[in-house]
Amino acid sequence: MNARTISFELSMEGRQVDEVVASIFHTVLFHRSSGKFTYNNEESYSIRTVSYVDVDCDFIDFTYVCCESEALGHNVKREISDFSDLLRAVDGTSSPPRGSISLEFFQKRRARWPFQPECVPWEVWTVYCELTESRPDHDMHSKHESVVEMLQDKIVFITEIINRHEYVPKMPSRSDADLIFDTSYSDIQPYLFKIHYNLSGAPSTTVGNTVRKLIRDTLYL
Amino acid sequence: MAPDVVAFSNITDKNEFTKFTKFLAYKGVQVIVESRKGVKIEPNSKPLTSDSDWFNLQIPDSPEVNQATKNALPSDRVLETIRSQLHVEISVQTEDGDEMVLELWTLELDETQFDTSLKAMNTVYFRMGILLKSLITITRITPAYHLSRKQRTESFTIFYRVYNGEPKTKALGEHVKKVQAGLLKTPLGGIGFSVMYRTNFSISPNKTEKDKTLLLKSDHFELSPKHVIFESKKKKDVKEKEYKPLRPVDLNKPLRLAAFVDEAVVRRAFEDFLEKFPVPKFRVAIRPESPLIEKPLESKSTQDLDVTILSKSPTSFESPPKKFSGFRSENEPPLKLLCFPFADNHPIRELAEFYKDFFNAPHLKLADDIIPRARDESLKEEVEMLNEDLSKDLELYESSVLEFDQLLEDMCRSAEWSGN
Repeated sequence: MNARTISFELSMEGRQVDEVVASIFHTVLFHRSSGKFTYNNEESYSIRTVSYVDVDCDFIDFTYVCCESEALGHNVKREISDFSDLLRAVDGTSSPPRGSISLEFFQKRRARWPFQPECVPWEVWTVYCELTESRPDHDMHSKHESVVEMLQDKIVFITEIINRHEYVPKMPSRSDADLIFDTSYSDIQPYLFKIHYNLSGAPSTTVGNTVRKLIRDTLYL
Repeated sequence: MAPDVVAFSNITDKNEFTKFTKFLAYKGVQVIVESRKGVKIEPNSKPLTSDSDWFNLQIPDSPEVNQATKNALPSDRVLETIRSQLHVEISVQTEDGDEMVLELWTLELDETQFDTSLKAMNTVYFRMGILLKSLITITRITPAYHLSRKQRTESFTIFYRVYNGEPKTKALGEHVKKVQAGLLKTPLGGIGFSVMYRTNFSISPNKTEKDKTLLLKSDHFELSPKHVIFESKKKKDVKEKEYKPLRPVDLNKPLRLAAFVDEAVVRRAFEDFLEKFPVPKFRVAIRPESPLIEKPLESKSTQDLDVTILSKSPTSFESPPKKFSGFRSENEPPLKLLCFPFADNHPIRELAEFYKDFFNAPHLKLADDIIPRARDESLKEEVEMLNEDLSKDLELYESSVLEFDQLLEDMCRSAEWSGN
């Protein structure tokens, strides 16, 4: 697979999962989204402006930047919430709950009818989460600060990786734009991406969740 | 090092690259300064996009910030200047006048990190946009960001300064952390932003006032939400207290009652005092009718005037708030004021804006320009008429002194209320 994979291992409290994952994914998506393309002809295009907003976290002393797009924010939040709910529902008496969630960028390759286009990932960001017990003891403050420090390091690392410009698909012509970019958003144009997750060291996900995920993935593609 | 001649296939590309780099610098400085205003960027908070924004990013274009960048980055020497580094210094100043440099952002063109394979200028442009996104992201994670977000509720102000050449890293103290905010390899070298920021936030005493005790705790700038930062006093050791001579009361600071003081007794004492020594109601000296005619060549620059007023201010009510003063030695470029703390949706904001506009107002040239040329009678008459008008205006204002005093008291009172 000619793709770049980047993984982060973080331990956090259950209530911090959503924000930790969101701050990493939104930082990546902010870099991996451009303004909407307007093609003048097959090869020539102009790009609209991207706006950005600051997001203050509630459970960590952290602010991250994300694209100003309600639809994109909603989709990312839904996926992360599903993962967070599942992870936090895991019984952690024997071992701390663990799970991973990935943000995968891919491009489509046309296939002969009646087959679906092939999806080829070119960059995958995975966050491995391990939940720690949230006790209001004296070291909570230092734990909280360590999460923030880890997150700061990850953000710096993300910017370092993204500015290396490897594996990124070339700018497409008009007819191929849908194979590279997700053009379904009205206000932003991210590279095609999907978010998937799984839990490890825990009972398998419920049938209902698995089916729901399968249906969603199918519809998405 | 990649020589400029072979780095690009033609002169147009070189010129385009220079232009892109120039705007990268302008936008980069804007991003840094915007992030230190202490304002959270909310959805729909920005004006509609024009679709002609540089690097397809909605970054503000503050004329004041652009001017500061322009001063440090001459248009005819863009690449040379960035090769020798362009810096944005962020510092904090407390209401006691203590200041500390928090971080130093640097835009640099490192000639050793070149990549001659990158030829297409639209790709350079696109990647510079990504570099700016990295800068936007990194500006949110340094300690100064959290500090600047608190400046509206705390008694300090963040300043910035743009300069080129050798970085003044000593001002950051001994404990410094450096973060690279992306690096774009181009045919002329690696271009990128980096930041050096202090990790030790204890403030050192003001060098100009050696008698001043250290007012801040070692964790004074602790950024944890648990700590209330910028407490105004530090408990001194008892021993230190014994040897410490009594300090004169600083009238430029607001007088506050100590804890457990009986307010009624204090008020009575004040009333008794004022009864014995009443405050004169009209403190305005009677001036000659046409001061401009008598001393036309003695007009000072407004900055000198401001300094005089500040140094002569007898009480805290008459002096402008300290955080609005931005004096530096003449050799250093002035630091710019970023925002007015406590002034959101408050009537005092108008006063603050007025103060800011006129604090560094240009030298009044009217009298100087006109008088030397007023050789013929008509011009002289014109000048006299002008001065008469001014005198009338002055009289009008002098007669309204009571109203002004009342207004000022009201404002001070409302400021105190909002402060509480």
